[in-house]
Amino acid sequence: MNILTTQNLKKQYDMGEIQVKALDGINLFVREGEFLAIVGTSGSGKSTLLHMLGGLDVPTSGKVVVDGKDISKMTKDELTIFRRRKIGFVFQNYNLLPLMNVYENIVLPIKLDGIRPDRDYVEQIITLLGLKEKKYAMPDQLSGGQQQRVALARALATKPAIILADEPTGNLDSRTSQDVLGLMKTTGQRFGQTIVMITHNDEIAQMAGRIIRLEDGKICGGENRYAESEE
Amino acid sequence: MLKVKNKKVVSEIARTTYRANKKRNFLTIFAIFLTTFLIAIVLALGVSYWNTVSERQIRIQGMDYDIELSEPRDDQVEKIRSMDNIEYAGVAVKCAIIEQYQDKSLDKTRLYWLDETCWERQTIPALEGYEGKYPQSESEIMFSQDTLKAMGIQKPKIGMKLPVTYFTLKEGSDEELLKKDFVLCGWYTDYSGNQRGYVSEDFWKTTGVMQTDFTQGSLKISLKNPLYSEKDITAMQNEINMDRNQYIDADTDTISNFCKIAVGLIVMLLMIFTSGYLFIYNTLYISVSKDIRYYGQLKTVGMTSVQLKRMVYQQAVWNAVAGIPFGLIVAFIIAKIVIPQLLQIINPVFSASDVVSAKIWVFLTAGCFAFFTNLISCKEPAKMVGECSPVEALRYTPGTCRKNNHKRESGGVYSMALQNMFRDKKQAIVIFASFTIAISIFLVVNVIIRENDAKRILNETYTYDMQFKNETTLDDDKKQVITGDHIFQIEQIKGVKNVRKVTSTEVVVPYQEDVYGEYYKGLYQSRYSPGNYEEDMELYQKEPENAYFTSRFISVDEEGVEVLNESIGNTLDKEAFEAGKIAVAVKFLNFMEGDYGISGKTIRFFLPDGKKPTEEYSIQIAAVVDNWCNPAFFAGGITPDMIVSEKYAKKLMGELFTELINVQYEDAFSKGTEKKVKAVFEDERQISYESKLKRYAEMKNSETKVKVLGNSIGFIIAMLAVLNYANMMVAGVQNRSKEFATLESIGMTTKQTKKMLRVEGIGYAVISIIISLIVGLPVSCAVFNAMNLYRISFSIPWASNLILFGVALVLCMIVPVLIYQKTQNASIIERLRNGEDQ
Repeated sequence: MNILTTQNLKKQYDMGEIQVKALDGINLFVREGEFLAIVGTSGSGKSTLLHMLGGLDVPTSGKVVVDGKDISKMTKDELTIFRRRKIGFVFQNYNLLPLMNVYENIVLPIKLDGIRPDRDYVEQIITLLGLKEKKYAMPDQLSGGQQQRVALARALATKPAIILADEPTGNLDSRTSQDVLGLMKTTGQRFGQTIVMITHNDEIAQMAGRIIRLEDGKICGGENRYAESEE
Repeated sequence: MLKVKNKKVVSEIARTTYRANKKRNFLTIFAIFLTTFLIAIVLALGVSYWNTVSERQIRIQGMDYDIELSEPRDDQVEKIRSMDNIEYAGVAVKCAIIEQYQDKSLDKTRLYWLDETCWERQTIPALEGYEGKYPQSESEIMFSQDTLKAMGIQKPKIGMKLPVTYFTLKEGSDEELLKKDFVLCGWYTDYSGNQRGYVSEDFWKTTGVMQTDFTQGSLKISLKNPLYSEKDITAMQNEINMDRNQYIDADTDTISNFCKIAVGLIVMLLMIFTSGYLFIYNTLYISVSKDIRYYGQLKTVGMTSVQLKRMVYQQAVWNAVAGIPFGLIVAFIIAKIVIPQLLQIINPVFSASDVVSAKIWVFLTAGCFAFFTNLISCKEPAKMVGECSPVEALRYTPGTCRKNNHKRESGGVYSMALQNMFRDKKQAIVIFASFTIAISIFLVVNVIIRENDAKRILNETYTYDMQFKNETTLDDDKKQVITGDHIFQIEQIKGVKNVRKVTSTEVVVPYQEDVYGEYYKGLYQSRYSPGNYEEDMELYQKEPENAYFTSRFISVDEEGVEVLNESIGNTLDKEAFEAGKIAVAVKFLNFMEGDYGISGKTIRFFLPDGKKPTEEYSIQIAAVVDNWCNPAFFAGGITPDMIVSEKYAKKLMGELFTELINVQYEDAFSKGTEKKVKAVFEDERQISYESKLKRYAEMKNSETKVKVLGNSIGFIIAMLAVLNYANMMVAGVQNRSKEFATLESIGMTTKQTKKMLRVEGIGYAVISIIISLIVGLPVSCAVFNAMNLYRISFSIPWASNLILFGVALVLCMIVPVLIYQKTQNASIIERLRNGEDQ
């Protein structure tokens, strides 16, 4: 079953007289529980696509359907709540809140939902991601890898259906990158989550279950057929 | 070392950076504009307010001078006029008292002759206005409007004949009544409440009164430097060879009073200047800290600390150049056009021109202050820019509480709001300080405005709304013109709260050295000494019934006891007083200090008009009060008057003679009630009246000015407190743009963000208000006491303060949310990217 699909997704930017097509009719299909990597060179539109999938940006035209719901029809706040419950984001530069410690950063999305955090589950994630010692540390006291692990823990905390990771290893060295990705994969499998990751690093992409390639805002390679055929 | 020509490059980068940060520059310029405006307008309005209040004070005094020499000889006048520190000295001689106009009794209308200096230099400046000219011929006379009204003349005309009965104050004239038709040559308005008239030199000469006669003549002296000490006065006394009875009436506390007022003003100015400084400082601090990453980037490409600092200062100068003139222009427009127009609309009497004396120095001070504050405020941010290492700068996040990593497991909207408030402790302190100071200034200004409110001053100085006096009280054929029927009629009028009756009669107090001995000695040793102590005391022992030694036996009703008791600090045993066991003695003169050991002693006395004129009574004196506490108006001889309860007086006297009644209204200054009360005595010719409302009406013009200026200052300060906060919030919200986007990306809804901002706003407002109350109230009390000209009691203007607190609270809640709505419109991704670029 497809948990995430896009239909003829387009995004254009007006830069004076020139129109830049960041996404040019993307039809994407992602099955529940799979680990998809989207690769492409800088400027190929992969980040834009990921932002559209997570409702962080608005498409010029086309549809994004997540878990059977067309998110392009949602209001800003509906989208925020939907994102909080269904999607976990991992950013390249972590985007941790500097005033909160590791634990607070992790449980914030749960608390924003007005729910008491499931302590066992949170502790489980913290332990799994090797953050036990740093539970009460502030973000600026952590290394890049540790910060990214916190970002991942935060993304996992609400038990979202989908994790969207935007160059999660972009700021990390190769060893740490391997660690973070390994953890992402493990937790994804363990908690039955779908992972969509973008990267420009082919080696990193190889760790995913499926890879699609983007160029000039279009899907130009990879294994998107499998989903299409099913459709 | 070779000098590298890089000034141009630095300037160019500064220019590019400046242009790129339009929004932020606007905020800084706005802060500078507001500060310039605040200082300029508060100084301009403050100076005008001060002038208006001082002007009113002079009008209440009725004459503008610093010290006074009694009974001056011509040689003394000449000598004093030639002294270096004397601005001018004018002679005034009280020469006659009008008793009646036609058949209407007047309240002792004193007639004065003033020399040219006294009239032109010292009297005219103290008048609100005058018509006509100073009397020249023997029959000409000039009256205060108050007197003309008391005569029943509502529309005076120059040249109208005024037939009056008067007596001269010539020594030994025995108040022989004379009749004369005066010709009205002018009238004037002041706020002194004194009924008086001015006469020509020719008339004065006909009265036979000399300027050296005891208590009649005086030399009003205006000093070049009105700040004088007791030493200066003594020096003057030594130079003019004073006679025994002469004295110089001077307030020796002038310097200390001036210092108190100066301290009060300095405290206020310091607060206003600090508020301006913090405002600019905070805006610049936020602005530069936001640019730290950018400066770090510049450092990495080789820009030196000196160059970066220069850049910060260069941008600050540009901001100042844009903000200061704008602030000055707006302040000028408001001070010179808006407020005068407003005053004219409220009261067309004012010409729109001279209301606010906005002098050039006010604007220069404000401009210079804003400019230098701007540069000084840059010092810290510039240092921050210069000192941080490129790497640190690139990683800089405003306000990270590094040390605060306790085992905290919060994270809800409320705890986030709390953390945000104190995320940058320094900035939080600046916000609180500036907000607190602004609110405190408002509290202080509010108290000063309240202190100078005419109604309040009158309420504190008058114990009644209207007073009716029986002008025949001291006459041999005195008449009971204020009857029980009159009192009953007044009591029945709707709006009258109570009528307090004061009765009086002559009392003979035989010489009793053990009771009043010390008091007489004190009196005769003072500069107001009534004569020769030994001779007078000898006469007293022989003739205690001599009018010179008798005094008044005054009675007050139950309401009157309350007023009297309040004036002596509620120390009276009311039961004993009512029962006639104790009495209160009134000193002959106000200045006499202490009770001369009288309290607690028993005094013997006779009542010649009582039931048993020859019987000797005795009563214990419980307290000795100053003359201003005396509920009665008419004075007796030098022996202290006695105040007793009405019940006791009735027991000894039978029927009591009502000297005066004090009428108090439910609502002070009620015109309707006053009209009805006045009507009760409409046909009564031997009753004079005094009214608080009448005094208020006289002060109305200056009151409007005082109120408009005062309230404008209050309003502007309150507005600035709020704008100051709003400006800080704009900077704060913009600074947190990326954070808001992050929060939104992980699921914080707009509603939750707004809630967080509202909670932060409430936090800022509540904490600032609490600190302002803790800091501002004592300061306002201190400033109030320093400037308390009318000795009125301190009270907090809760209503206007609560309105400000309410408005501040609401705005603190609304402003950040509005700013958030206005500024955070871009998509999450754009905002996240913008945040990273900075």
